Amino acid sequence: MTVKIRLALSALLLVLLGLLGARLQLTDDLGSLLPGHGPLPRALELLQRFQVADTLLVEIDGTGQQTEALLAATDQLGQRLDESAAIRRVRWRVQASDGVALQRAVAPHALDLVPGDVLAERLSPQGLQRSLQGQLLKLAGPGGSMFEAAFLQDPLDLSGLALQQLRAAGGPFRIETAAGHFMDASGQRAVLFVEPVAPAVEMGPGAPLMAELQQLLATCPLPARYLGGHRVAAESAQRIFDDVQRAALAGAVLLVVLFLAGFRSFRPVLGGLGPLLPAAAATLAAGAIMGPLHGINLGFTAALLGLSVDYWIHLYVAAARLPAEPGFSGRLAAGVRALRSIGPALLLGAGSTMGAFGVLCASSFPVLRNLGAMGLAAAAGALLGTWLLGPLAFALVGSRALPSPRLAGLPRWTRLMVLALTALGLLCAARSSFDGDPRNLLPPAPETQALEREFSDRYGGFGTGGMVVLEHERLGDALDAADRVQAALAAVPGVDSAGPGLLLPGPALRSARRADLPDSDELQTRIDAAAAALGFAPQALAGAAQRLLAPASAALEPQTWAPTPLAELTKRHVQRSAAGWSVMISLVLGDEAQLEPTEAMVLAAAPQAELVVPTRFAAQGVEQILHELLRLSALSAAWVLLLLVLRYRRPRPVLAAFSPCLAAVAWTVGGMALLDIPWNAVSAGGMVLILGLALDYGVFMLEGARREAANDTGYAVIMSALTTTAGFGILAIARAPALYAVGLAVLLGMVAAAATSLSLVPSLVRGEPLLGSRLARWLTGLVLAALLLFHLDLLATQIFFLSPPAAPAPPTHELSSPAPGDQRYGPNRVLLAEGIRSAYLEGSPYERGYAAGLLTGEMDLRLEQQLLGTFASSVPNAIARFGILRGVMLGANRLDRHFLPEQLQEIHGYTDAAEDRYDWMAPAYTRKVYYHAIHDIGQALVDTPVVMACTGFMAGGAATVDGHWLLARNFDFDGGSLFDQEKLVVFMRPDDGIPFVSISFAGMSGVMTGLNQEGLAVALQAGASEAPIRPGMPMTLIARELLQYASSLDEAEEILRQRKGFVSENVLVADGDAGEAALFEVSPQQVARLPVEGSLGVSNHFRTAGFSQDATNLLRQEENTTVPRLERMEELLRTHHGQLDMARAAEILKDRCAPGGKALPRGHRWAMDADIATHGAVIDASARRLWVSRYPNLAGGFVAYDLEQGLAGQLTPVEVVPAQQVRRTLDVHRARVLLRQAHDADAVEAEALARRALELMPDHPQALQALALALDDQGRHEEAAEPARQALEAPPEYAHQVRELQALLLEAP
Amino acid sequence: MALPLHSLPGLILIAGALAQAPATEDSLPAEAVAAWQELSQVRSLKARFVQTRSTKLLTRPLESSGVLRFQRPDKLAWQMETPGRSLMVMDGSRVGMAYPDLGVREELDLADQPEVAGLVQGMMVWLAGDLEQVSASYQLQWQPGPPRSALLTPRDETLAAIIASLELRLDGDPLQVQHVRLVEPDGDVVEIALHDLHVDPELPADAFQLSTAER
Repeated sequence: MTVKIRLALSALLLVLLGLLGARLQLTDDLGSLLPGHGPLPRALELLQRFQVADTLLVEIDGTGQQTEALLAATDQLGQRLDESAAIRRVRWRVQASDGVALQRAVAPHALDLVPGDVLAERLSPQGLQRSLQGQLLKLAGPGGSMFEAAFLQDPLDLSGLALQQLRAAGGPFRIETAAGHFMDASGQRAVLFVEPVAPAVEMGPGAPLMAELQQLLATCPLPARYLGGHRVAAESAQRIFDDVQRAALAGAVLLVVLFLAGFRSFRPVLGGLGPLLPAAAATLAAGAIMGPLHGINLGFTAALLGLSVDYWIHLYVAAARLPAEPGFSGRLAAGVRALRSIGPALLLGAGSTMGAFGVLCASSFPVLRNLGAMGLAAAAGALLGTWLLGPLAFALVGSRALPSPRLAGLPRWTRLMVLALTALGLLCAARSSFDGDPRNLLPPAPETQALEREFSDRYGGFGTGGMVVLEHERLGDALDAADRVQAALAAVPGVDSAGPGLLLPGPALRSARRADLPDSDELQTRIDAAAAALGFAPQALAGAAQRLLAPASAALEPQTWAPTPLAELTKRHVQRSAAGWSVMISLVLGDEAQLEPTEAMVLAAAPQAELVVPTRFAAQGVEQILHELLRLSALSAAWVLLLLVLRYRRPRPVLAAFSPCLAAVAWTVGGMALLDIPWNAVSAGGMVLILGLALDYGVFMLEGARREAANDTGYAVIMSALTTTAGFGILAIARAPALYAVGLAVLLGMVAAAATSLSLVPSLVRGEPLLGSRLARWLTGLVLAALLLFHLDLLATQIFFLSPPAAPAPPTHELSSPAPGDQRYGPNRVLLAEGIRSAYLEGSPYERGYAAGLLTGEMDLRLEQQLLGTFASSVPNAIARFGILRGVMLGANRLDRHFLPEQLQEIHGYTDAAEDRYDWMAPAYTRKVYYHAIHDIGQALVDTPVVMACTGFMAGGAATVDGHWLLARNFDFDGGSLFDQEKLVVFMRPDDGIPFVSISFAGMSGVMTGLNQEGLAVALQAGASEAPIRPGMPMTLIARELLQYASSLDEAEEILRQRKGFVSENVLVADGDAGEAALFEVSPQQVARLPVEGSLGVSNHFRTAGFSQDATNLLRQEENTTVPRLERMEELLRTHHGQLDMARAAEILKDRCAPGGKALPRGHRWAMDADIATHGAVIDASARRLWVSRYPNLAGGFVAYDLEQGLAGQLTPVEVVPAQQVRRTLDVHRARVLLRQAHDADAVEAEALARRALELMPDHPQALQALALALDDQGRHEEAAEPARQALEAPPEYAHQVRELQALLLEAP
Repeated sequence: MALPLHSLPGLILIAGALAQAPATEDSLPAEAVAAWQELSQVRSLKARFVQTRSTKLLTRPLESSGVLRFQRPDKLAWQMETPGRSLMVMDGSRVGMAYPDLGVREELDLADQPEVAGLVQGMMVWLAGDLEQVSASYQLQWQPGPPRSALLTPRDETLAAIIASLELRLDGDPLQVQHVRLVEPDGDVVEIALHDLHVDPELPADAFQLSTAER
């Protein structure tokens, strides 16, 4: 081919590609990275539609300042922001006009906006009287004359009531007002809502709005920060822009430096431009063809050019080694000859690279498809460019003498090192993780993320956990569905929801509210009676009922709220859509909210609802992407192998060429795992690319070795790897995970591929052994040792694993679900009602267990997952965990010998029916038997981090209102709130013994709290004694035996004396029929009986004479919280003597005061209710009734059951005591998580975490102590003294805290 | 949050009356002019009040009592203590009303509500002793004392629709309005008796803030 033809073809190619590339379009839409259909894009679209907040939140921190100064600064900043042309609206205080607008909007619809129960209360005789009394107050005020007219229009002040409801509900935001300004709960920070003119999605890098905002905030005399969709969008865009710019610049500089260093000349750099131009043009052309490109894809352009220069390098090195005639034509001839010599490798390498990229084109993810197309075009362009322009470029620039390193015969240790690193990579690969959430590809800056967490804690709602979206043709249908969903979600533990229902109740709800109202005559009679009693003149309120019940004059629709500040809220929840109307309910999910039950409740309420939860959305992403990548990798590997087999036809060269691929995969996956960097959709796509490149190197090296040019080829491979690294690997300096993860992966892969190509490939080609004989012996020894350990464990499992008893044939009932939350298996049943699951089980032990396994196995799996998760977080090393498990089995060898046969049968039935995912640890039957000892082990850990610190009482006779015998207790077990959410109230009718009810967990045959049909109530509370802890019958199983077989205190005592328990325990027994109760203090060595006279409080130590000198018992009283809890309980029992009933007993369990009645800080462990109870229970043994607390802890209220009804299979609760202060309890949970994080954090972060915990749990001694320690650790001893002193005053919960705090104060200056 | 119009302290006047031709000082006795002059010297005022409202809505008069505070030029706090707690504050154009026992708290900016502004500012007129303003809105009849009294009859029909007459009884040294009797067109009567008057006391800065209602 002549020079002219080469040039003409190249020019034509460049013009064509350039014309195409000029049509390249860019986009910022993350959705463009995802498939066009399926759940992921739909979820992202919904998230963007409803959640990309177009309102910024600005916070001014006035901590330590006078409120006036804070308010003045807020007014000043608010006005300045309001004056900005870039800002549509700013709200920082309640405007007086807001009130008038709201009043006008509410007035015609007041009756429809007030919830039914509130309305019923207002229209009751007592409610009417209270309301009119309030109106009298207004008539008496200075505006009385003017007020009269309004009073006659709305005598019951329903408008005021509706406004009060709106205000009280507040939605997910926790904003207070002071002097009309929006404040945080502490009143020390002011909040402004800023609505910019431009939407968040339009924020590009360096958006002027952000600069202006920063400038305005800087003028504020107090520290001001802001957060919102605009900031996130602008930061993400800026980050990708910076990354691409930096990577391109650094890559270009590095390439030049590499060429200069490697070739000692600038010529190959200039020469490389020729072959590179078609590659660059082809890459951009492909990008243009694929449609609008996201910045992430554009970021790869420079990297692909680094890859494309490889072929030129091989050509240049090969040509430089060839003898050439002087002059242009001589060098051209050398270039052409070099091209021919590397031709096979070039074609095979390019073919494999194009194949790998081509495979990506089959991806359903546009981000990967675009990368594939661009990579394919780059490789093809580079191949064509090298073929057409390579020899010409060489002829033009010529060459200088190249270095001659000896690369063909690298020492053996290099091979060993490569093999060892490959093995290490494979070992570490198991720790790899994958982040499938596309939003994490471009996360905002760390400080913004920290701010999001902080604001979420402080104001709630900002960290929205998810949403439910309902689409309907008619607005009314959508609102009705939303009302049903919200009603259903109200019963789901751990889920807070906010929907439009407050402002826009659906027609069905409005009709139902009106249907429940009294008719006009009855209401008028009530009004007249209440008015007369308060001194109103006869006929003063004539016709009031008729006016009140008249239909609204205008429709209640989103437009109703348009003139009010609530318009923003309605816009957020209700939007017009292609389908008609979309209504969104936002969810705030607690730490332990369960998605499956939530979704079940939502779908039961509205079958067409969509539940969008980012965490699950990420999980779906993981599944979809991984599945696809496996498919693509398999395709890629098949393509590569096909090429190799076609070319070499023998195993050894195929293995040699493929070995860099294997090493690259091992090093990359292992390296990423070691560095704890998760894979993502982009970096995982990079793996396909690494395969193609590694094969490139392997093939070139193999071809070079075959033609005795291994040194030169090795040199070219090194240079190629370096240039690729300069192009792609340089992305490792990027900040966006989408880019740095792929950069790092390619960097690792290229290093592995080059090292393997240089060290292993020549040896494999030559047929040399890879390892020395000594090393081979070592490796053999290692493998044998591993095999020995494996077999020893097998032997151990034979000894320790338990054999279940012989089982009868399983029952053959049909499993059915007549309604959501209601599952049945023959006569057995599980029902989720009022937020608590209850079960009815009957039959033989095996049948009961089998039914329980089928009906509650799923709950059990969740509990076991949480239990093992807690175990894993306490013991992070998997080998150590494995050792502990085996150790426990050794220590409690043959625990099943202490169980009753029927108990083992029940467990056997359970494990036969329940699904199991943890059999790698031990068979389910063995695990379930050993799990029954967990309670006993936990008892030994009273008041330690895994806390069981129960408080309770028994009372009857003269102590109670009706002489009934009550047993009330809190079961405080801090093993994870799932144990609270997933509690199970089991009504059991065994074939043998007395039917009973027990408050328990799925998979547990034992009893912690229960009541039997003979009126015997039983509860366990930890005790303490010196008696050694030895395997015995788990106390929960002894309690179960009491319930099933004892009908009096004497029978109970006989069983307790017969059985040898595991640990020391307070056993509370009340006999409702005989009218007596006793506390049994039980240790493995003795049983003491303490009769109850009137009432008796119980905590976690022993009081009878036999234990008075017991050192463990005394130590517990000195060190832990058992004494103050008991003192307070005794105080309360004295106070309420003669007045005790179930309601008052529940109130006692919820007490939060110290002895003497001083209120304790939230979550204080001295309190009866320390916000840790897994269950609270009040049992009326005489009436056979029990109240069970509902999540969270005692704040979710109580659900009441009737024993006889339950034993008849009627599981619907007979009564519900409403929730109180749920948010406060959840705040305590959150604060405890923060304190645990603070414990492991560095001092600066620990301080921030402790301060956030203190906001949620003010004055709590543990939070104060954490703050003091964090300050002390930073050397701020003087500042540390104040929280330490406050903690000592709080008071501290444990004696050791007192000592630690005093020591800290002693050290303070 | 919201302030219903009906809860405004529209005790007395209507702004439309301001447009009427005012009476001049020349048309009043010198004693009346001097009395109003004396009233206008007051910088601040604190007094206890007992208000008795006789309305056809109720079978017996409705009595309330509390403390009134006034600070020239435009601050007023009307703090009711019995039969229940309430606080009305005016500060410039902002008016706030709180009923702590009912959980109600409302605010209004008179700048946004010109039609109400006249009503509310009118209350200041007699407290501030602004004869010019009073004369603009009312026909004033002076009754020499002791105790001296002024009978105000609205000039404007709109105002007259709310107030039939307003009688102010002045006494004491320094001279102060000590009793107000307001007769509404439908015959309802509001009587306000002021006692324990303190002229020009130092009033705390937060006396005119709605937040004090909770104390």
